[in-house]
Amino acid sequence: MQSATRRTLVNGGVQMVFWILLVVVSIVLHAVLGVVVPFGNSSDGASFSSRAALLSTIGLVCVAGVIAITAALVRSRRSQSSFDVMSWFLTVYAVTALVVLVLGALIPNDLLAHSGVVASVVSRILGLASVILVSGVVGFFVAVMRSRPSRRLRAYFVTQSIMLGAMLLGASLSIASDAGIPIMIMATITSAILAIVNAPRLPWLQTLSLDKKLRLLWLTGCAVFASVLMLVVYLQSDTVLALSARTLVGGLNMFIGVVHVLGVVVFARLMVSILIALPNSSIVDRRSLEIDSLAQLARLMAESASIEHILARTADLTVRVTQAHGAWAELGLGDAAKVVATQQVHAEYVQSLQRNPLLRECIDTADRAIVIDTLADYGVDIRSLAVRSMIIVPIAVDGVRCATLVAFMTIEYGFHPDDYRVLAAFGDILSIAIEQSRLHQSALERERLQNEADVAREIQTSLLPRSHPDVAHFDLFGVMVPASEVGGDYFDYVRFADGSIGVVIADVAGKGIPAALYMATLKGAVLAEVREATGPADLLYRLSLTLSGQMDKRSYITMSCVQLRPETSTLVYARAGHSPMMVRNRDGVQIIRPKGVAIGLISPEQFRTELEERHIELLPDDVCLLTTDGVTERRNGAMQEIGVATVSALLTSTTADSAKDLVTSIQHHLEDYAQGADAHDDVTIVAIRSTATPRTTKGTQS
Amino acid sequence: MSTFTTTVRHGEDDVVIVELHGYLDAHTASEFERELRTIIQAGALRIIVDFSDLEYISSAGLGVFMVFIEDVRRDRGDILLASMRENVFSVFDLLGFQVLFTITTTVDQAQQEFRSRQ
Repeated sequence: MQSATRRTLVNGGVQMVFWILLVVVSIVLHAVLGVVVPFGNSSDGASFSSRAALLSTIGLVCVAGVIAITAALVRSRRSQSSFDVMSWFLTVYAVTALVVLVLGALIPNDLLAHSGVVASVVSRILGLASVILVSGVVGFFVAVMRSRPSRRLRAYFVTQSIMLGAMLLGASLSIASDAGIPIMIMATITSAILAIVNAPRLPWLQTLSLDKKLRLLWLTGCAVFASVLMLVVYLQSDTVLALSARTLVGGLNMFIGVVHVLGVVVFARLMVSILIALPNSSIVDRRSLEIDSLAQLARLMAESASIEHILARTADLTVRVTQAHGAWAELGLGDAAKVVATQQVHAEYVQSLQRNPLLRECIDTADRAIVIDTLADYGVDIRSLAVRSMIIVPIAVDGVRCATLVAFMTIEYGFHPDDYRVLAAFGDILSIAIEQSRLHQSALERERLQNEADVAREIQTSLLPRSHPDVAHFDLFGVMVPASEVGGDYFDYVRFADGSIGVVIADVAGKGIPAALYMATLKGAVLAEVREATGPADLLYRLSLTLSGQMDKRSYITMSCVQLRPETSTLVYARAGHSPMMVRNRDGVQIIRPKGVAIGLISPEQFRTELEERHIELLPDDVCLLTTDGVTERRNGAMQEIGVATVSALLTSTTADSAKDLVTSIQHHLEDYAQGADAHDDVTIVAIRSTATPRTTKGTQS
Repeated sequence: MSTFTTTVRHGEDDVVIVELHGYLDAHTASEFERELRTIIQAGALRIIVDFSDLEYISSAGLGVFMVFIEDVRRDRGDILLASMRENVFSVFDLLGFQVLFTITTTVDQAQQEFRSRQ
């Protein structure tokens, strides 16, 4: 693409240099001849004829050269719109022609009658100017014809070129004999007829806006005026310009004259086309405005601007496209409607309009765009309102009304059906834009929440034990699987004041980072208090003391604590509002639920009195299961919870023989139950299995 | 999404009865908290929360009751929880809420409770 452009440029350049050289050489030759043969002596017929013939050849070269230059110029401008090329040419042509004509008129007729350097120079300047001018006109015609690529038009181009050649030939011949003149006239008439018959339909003209058409019309008028003057001046043999041209190249004045006949035909044809195209200008202007504003809205949408901004822009475009006397956009419905943008009207006035109950009803009940030609039809008391007609465009996202665009006029029947059509289109675009804007906002929000969830999960995971302690006669294993939105589960292995090992499992009310931070506080408190604690109930009481007053009123912690007593194969268990412990022994699964209130609900003293501690003696292979509510409340796709009964049945039926296998097996069963449904809450499972050698004593409770 | 609504009606002796409907979870708790605050700021001191139409309550939902109980009691009022479904009651029960709140099986019982305190 780029190399093709460069090649065209190089070719054009070479062509231009070549033709400029030719023109310069011709001018120099001519100047020499002009000096050798004095101007104005026409008595010597033979010498005059031979000189004229020679100059005709030079003139031909000049003409061809300038045609090529003009053609190259027009071609290089072809990338621009036809309007630009056309108005550029018409301006240059009209200005040059009028300058030449004014010069011709200013110079007295009898100046050229005298021989002398001044007369010679003036004549040559005018002659050359005429040559360049006519070359430009011909060059432009050629360029326009060449720019149309169909085969038929190419034939037309060839024919017109031949006709131009014939005109030139006729003009040259007319010096020597009268036979040249009929040829010239015939060629001109044929060419003019051809030009009219093959006149391009000029589709680009239709799409011009009114001001461009008017500008072009004015320019074409100037061009027609200039061509008529040129034609008259050059076809008369005794005008200064005709004399100069004829002296420069024999018969040139005739050639210029007939080319301008053609020019008058072509320019007049163009003028008529423009005049015909004028009436549809307002439609064209409107269409282009509509397309422009729809494109602007689409662009705005792509920028994912705020809803308010999009509505404000739309109100502005509404006024521009429909010529409405005012417009506004509002978000929401009824009393909650909020005016977000007004155009050419004060927000207070819009609010007063909105307060009109009948108008309000019209706006609120519109289920598609409506035109109100006269508000009186709707029973609205129009005396109190300046508004007479309006278009109401409801904007709905997913079938839910969320905004309204209103345009109004202070006259009845102020809106054109097209206004309705374009505003309805605005409404469609707006609903998409608003939906997109909302999606964008929610995506941002989701991203923020995702980051928050990641931070919370990181805190939570860092608080979990990294290994499971080795305790004689017990096999311990625990796992915590965080939910997508961290639920506040926590478990840990601790060492009491007497050196015995314990397990704590807790659930902090709340989710996300706040829950994770409470967990961190809780872990710190547990580590500090457990050194002094004598047992589970004591630890829980100490924690309630430490944490009371530190927690938000809404928040509380449920917690279970188990102390392992390997020497008696006994567990000591206390529960602060937490999910009760399940114990599986030979008799099945028992749910052990000592009294106890969640930490943070009541005063530490009351908490202590409510707290109960139990001792559970385990036989070999007996298993204790500590869970959080995320286990028993695990839901499937139908939102049904698995429930305590199913979990306890799982515990009964499992064949796993280590704490780890047992936890894993329960985890698998939970996932099977959920069938891929997202976990609402963290899932924490800790299993304690007794590995003691068989004893005969039965479990006791205290 | 889960839906949650409340209905407020006035019983005898300046008792305000707040009926809960639907799901009270982390997403709807703040809405409920706002409504309860409005009711209390309007001067209500004897409040009965009717749970009969509440399908589910989460830990965040429970937290809402704890926000106001101290203030209401200081002003010699109370919040009574009544007519809970089995699954909702078990959540309150497990946490030991009965130590803190009076939970009755019907709204009438809660009304009687208020009457007996006079």
